[in-house]
Amino acid sequence: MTELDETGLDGHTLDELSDYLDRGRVPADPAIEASPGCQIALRALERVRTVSASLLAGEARDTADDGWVATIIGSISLDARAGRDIPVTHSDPSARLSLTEGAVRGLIRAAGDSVGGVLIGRCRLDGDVTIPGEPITVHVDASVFYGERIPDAAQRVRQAIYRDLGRHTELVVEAVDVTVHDVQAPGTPGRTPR
Amino acid sequence: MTEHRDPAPHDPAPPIGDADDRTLAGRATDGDVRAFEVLVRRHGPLMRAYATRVLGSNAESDDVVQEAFIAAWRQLPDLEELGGVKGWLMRIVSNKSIDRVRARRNHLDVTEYDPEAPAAQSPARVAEAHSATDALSAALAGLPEGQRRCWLLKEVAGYSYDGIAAELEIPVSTVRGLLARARKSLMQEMEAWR
Amino acid sequence: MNDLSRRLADLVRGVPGVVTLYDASPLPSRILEAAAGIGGLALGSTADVAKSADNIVSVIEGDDLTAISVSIGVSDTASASAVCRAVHDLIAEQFGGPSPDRTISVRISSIG
Repeated sequence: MTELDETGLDGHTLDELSDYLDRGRVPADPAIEASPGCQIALRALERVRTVSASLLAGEARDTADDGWVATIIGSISLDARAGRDIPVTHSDPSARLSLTEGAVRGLIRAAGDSVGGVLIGRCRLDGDVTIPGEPITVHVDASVFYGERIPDAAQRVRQAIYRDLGRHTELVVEAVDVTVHDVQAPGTPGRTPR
Repeated sequence: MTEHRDPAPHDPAPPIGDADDRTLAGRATDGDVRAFEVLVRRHGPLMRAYATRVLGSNAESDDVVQEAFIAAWRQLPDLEELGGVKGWLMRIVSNKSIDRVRARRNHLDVTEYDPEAPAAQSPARVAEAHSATDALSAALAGLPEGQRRCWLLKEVAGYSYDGIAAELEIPVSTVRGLLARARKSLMQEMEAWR
Repeated sequence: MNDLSRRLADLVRGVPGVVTLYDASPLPSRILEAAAGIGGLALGSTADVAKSADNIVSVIEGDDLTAISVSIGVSDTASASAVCRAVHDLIAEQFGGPSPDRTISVRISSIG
């Protein structure tokens, strides 16, 4: 194993090289890059890391059976997601009518998903939704199918959200902000850029 | 609370099973159980493989991964970087696994404890391995527990040195030392295998 | 089991647009009931609770006030706010109209 002997590293150590790799070899260290011993060690180190990173992926195949997934899904509680109570007005002062924020988010997701070529992600209602008549802003994250014109898709999403919120709620929607965070090729699991 | 809708008259919405992690994490944060289920199916197997490796057997890994997902559902609203949900899930399952190991070992120092050698441990197994992953897997099995754990946290779960130190409750300097030794052994085994 | 609660639940289920009744009692009380072995599945998903519980419509009768609470899921075929009012009005009707000694809470927890 002479090539791994640190004496061949021109005064550098494996630790140092590992940190150098962690930094993505930036900024480039001319001394390391010019040393044949370091280059050999860096390649060996990269190999071990690449294999490590892929190690579990091989073992992870076909182990998500339905019973196991069902147990997890059956153990989570939706109560945690109800959010704020959004009032529905009534002439009778003893009436306490409301929509949960969670229900309204579900409505917004369904509205955005219904326009085609778009999948809604996170959704936020900015403003005090608990006060009737208070203007609010809706923010949604969306991923858009490859080939869709993003401004058109965003416009369709906005219209659908205005329409459905107007139909089902008494919220005064001042604006609907659509942030497209991903463009997705059909049929391939999307990947969020880091 | 299903979100079934009649299909839109024009383009369909992209199937949720293909959605990117940020979209899914956002929807799950807002209470979409189906999106959470996709995350469970997508990342559960890797988490289970990881837990199995840390725990040394798959007897407990199912429980640990289920616990991890239930905790994740509760904590999702606090997750700021939604696109990083995979690394976040890996950290949760890693935490839960290490908690188990600690409980099992009754406060034995995780870095000193060395379990009886599993069958895969002998150097002969590394030499016989058919693929690089098998070889690394065998080499990893031959490492002392502390080294193996640090290596997995760093190279598989993507922890920083500080993160590993916090996770294992040992000083950063110890982490550095353990990783240095793991790195050397693994590189040597892998170069020999080649 | 509570006859009034059950009768109200049947009525509410009959309102067009109502697709689900959820357990309207507050979560902490459900946890306590579950701990005491009363509520059965009370910590599962809300939908499971709705299927198993008898007192889905919460009726609390105090000395000076009766509080009725119901939590529902509605379809998206009718306006959710309109369904919410219709459910309220139907319950109020059972008691002969509005009264200061009574509150009726209707909460929509899912749409569509």
